[in-house]
Amino acid sequence: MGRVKSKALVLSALLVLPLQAATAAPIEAQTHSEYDLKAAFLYNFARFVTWPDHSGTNGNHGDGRFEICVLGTDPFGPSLDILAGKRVGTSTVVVHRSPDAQGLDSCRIVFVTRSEQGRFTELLEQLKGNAVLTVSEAEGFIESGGLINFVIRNNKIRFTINAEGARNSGLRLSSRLLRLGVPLQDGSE
Amino acid sequence: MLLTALVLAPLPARAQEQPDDLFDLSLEDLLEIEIVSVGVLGSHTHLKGEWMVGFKFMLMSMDGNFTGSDRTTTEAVLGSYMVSPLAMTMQMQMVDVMFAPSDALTLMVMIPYHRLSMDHRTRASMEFTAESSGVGDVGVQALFSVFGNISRSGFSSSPWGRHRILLRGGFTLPTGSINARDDLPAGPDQKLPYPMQVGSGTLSLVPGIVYLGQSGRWAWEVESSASVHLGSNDSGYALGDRLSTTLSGTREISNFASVSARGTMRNWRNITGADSDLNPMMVPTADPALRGGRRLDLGLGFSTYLPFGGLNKSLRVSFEAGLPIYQRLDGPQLGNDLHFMIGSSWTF
Repeated sequence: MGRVKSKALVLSALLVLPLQAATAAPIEAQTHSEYDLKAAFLYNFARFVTWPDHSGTNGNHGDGRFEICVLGTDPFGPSLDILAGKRVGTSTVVVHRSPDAQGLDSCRIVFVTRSEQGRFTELLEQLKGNAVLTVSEAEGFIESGGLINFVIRNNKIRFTINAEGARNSGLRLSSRLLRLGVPLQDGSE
Repeated sequence: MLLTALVLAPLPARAQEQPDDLFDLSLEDLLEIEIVSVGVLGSHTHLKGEWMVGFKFMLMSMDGNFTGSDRTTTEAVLGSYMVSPLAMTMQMQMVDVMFAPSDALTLMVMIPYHRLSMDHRTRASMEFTAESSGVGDVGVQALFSVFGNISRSGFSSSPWGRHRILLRGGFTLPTGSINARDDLPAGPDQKLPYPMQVGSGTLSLVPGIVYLGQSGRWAWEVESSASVHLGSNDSGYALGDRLSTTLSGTREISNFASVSARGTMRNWRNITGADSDLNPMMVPTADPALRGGRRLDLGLGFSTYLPFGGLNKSLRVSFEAGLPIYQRLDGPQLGNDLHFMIGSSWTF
């Protein structure tokens, strides 16, 4: 009887496990390495974008701060904190995390996380007019009016750019950044 | 071996890549970096200062006797012995604790607890079950990276960054009992035969070598390890030395989950010496010359990796189920049937 039960247990596991693998709910946190890399991309973006004059020299609001903000549930952890204190032009990077779009007026880059995927349009509307470089990794971000969307191709990080949206926001993207971006039609998941 | 590894620990296997390096790279360089999952190449070892506490439950069943690669009927066994084993269930719960004093070195302690159950039949057709349980031999091991490492940022732009070689060194302590007893038809409180003992009674060396490789979401691994028993135990015998070689492939199905297939070839020798309390004419499991063999196991697994709380903190849950596809035993000896494993580990 014990042997029969053991076999049933193992066979059940063999049947159930692939099913679990296929249906497991996405978890917002991903591997550490991916977010170390994405944090480095955010830092690089800051060096290839020019913010309008009213937002201060290279977006520092004249107070020497360059705020990189995370909107939603933070997937970076300490990977992003390493950015704090680094220099962008004459400004010092400050990392700020927020559960909603309120209080993000001073942010120059806002990374919108997957947890906010259902309300991109609403959030982007709230950020409109702030000369903010909005970045996300979630599908549909560009289509909702976001400016940069991370995608993964062959285990490497790529990004698509909404150049028109950036122009409308008053941001000037360097030709180098535009050249390295993946054309929109290739960036869809 | 462990001391040697400790002495060598400060020597880096190769230049360390820290997350800070990423911020010095250009956009073009960043685009060339392949994401390397800590969950694959970083398996086995940990980063400096990390602790890991793991728990594993394994269930292995044995069913029917083999002589060579052929099954032997119970009646045939009873033609030569008073008692024949029919089946066995082995449960093992193991707690393991790991600590990494450096990125290149991971130390671990493994504490197993065994529950063993063997069904028998006598010539008089009486069936009975013998049981034993207890803490097994505690293992102390070190894993040392001799080539490659997993950096804290887990990235690599070099093709060689996708390969690692680790040396395993350690020993098991004779903490498990070799005096398990149970009430049997032959009388109360009888000493149980060799496979029902939860310990070896001897100090054993456990050397090994591991190769890990990865490309994209695929990873592969070859591991060879041995268990060499030193001297004889207090009952006058030593378990046979073991050699095990594993070839496995893993495919990440997302950034948090992977499936794997594994083949493990095991060779083990007969017992040297003999326990004078056991009668080898009574039951094959009491015959030290009928303990050797070889077996090829196939296993399919699923592993999920849940980062939480940021860098270097994770919960990993793994499952594996499998069965032998080839076994050749010095028999009559019970052959393996299905095996099942569930394990979880917490890294902090």
